[in-house]
Amino acid sequence: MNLILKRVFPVFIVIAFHAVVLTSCGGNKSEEGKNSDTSVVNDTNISPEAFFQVPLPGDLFLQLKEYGVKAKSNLLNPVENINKYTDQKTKAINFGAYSSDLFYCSTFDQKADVLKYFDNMKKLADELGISSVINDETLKRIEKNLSNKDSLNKITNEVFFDASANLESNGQGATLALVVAGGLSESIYLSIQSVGAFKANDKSIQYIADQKYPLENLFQYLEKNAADERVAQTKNTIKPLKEAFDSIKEDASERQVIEGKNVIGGSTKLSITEEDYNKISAIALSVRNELTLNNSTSK
Amino acid sequence: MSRILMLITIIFAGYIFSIQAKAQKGSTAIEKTVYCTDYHKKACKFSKKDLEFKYNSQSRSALFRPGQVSEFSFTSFKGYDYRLTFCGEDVLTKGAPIAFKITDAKTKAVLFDSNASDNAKEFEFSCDNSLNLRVEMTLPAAEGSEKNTYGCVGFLLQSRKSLQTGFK
Repeated sequence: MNLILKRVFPVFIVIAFHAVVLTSCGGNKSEEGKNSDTSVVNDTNISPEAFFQVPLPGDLFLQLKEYGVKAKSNLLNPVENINKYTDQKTKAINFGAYSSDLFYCSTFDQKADVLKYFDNMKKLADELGISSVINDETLKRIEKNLSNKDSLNKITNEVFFDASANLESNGQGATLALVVAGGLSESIYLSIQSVGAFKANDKSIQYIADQKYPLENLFQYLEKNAADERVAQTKNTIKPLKEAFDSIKEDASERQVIEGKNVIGGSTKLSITEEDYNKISAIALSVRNELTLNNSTSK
Repeated sequence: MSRILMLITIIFAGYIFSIQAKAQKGSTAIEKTVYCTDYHKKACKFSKKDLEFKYNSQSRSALFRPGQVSEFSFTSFKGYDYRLTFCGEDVLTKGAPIAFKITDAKTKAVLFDSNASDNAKEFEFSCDNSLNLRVEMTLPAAEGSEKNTYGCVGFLLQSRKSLQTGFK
């Protein structure tokens, strides 16, 4: 027995040492620069106390299309601009912006540009460490469905959703906040440019005014991640746009009563004037140009 | 001496196995986070089937612990009907309902409380003025070692254009 122990014990120590070393080399998936939490333990994967949801750009464009809005040419962020995005902040923001452009292409049947924008998103996804969201299989599906805008929209939805989930589960909440900021800013800009001049009592203009609410949620989300310097800078860039939406007058509104239905709604209705709209339009353009490093002018 | 060696071996073995178990649990937590991504699409179902309602992109899933309280903020737009439902893994809920309360994000007015509605699992409404809504969700509490479990919770939001009634 003593002999067995004397022989087994040293071997056991060696095995145990290797087990501890290999267990420690788990690595971590969080790569958010100086502000990242590098510990990979249960609690960092457990959800935080508050989530701020923002609708996808496709939802906004689909609604405007139903209101009769038509696409306009030369609005999208040029694909060549990708060469300007050399740091993680501009890459993340413009992954969001290009996804919005892609939703615009698929919603308004601009097939010629779809592959170019997907290609740009793939390049940026690779550089953000989420290359799995756009793989060869995804590109094949896109090529196969170029004529089917419903399928294209579905694929774009999946890519954006997978990218968001990937970034979140990898502890890259700040990067995700930048992606969403880029997406919503580009969406608001594209919407206003597509709708064109102010028209009183127009549903599409009212719908643009209602983008105040997703913008509020975005702002809260940016606030939550503002410890990250890149997010703090982006929040400051978007702030004038939020303030412009906040200055829209709110009129008291009565609740509808529909028998057998729960009716929920704001106690006030946004009353957007031509002056409000033109101010928001100018600031949306300026914010969009700053985030995408563009020099475009209003139409 | 041999007894001391045996004792050291047993203690050390127990320590090494506990490190391994913790590491595996950590890996499982990461896997579970990824696993939760589509949970609401697979697991949450509204009791009524209605083809006109479509999946709303503000739905989501996430990883939670028993007893955790969380808030979701989403935008509901004028002229749309919405359905929302929560669902969670049995390891979290143990069959008990997930309580939720809906408030106006601006005025903080409580618009719906599942506790006051026979522990409703779902809620449907029409929106007559766009606004941000806050949904506070409370998971059933756990006791003892169950406090260290975790599981997926899904928030499924569906929407459709409100049906127009009456002559215009």
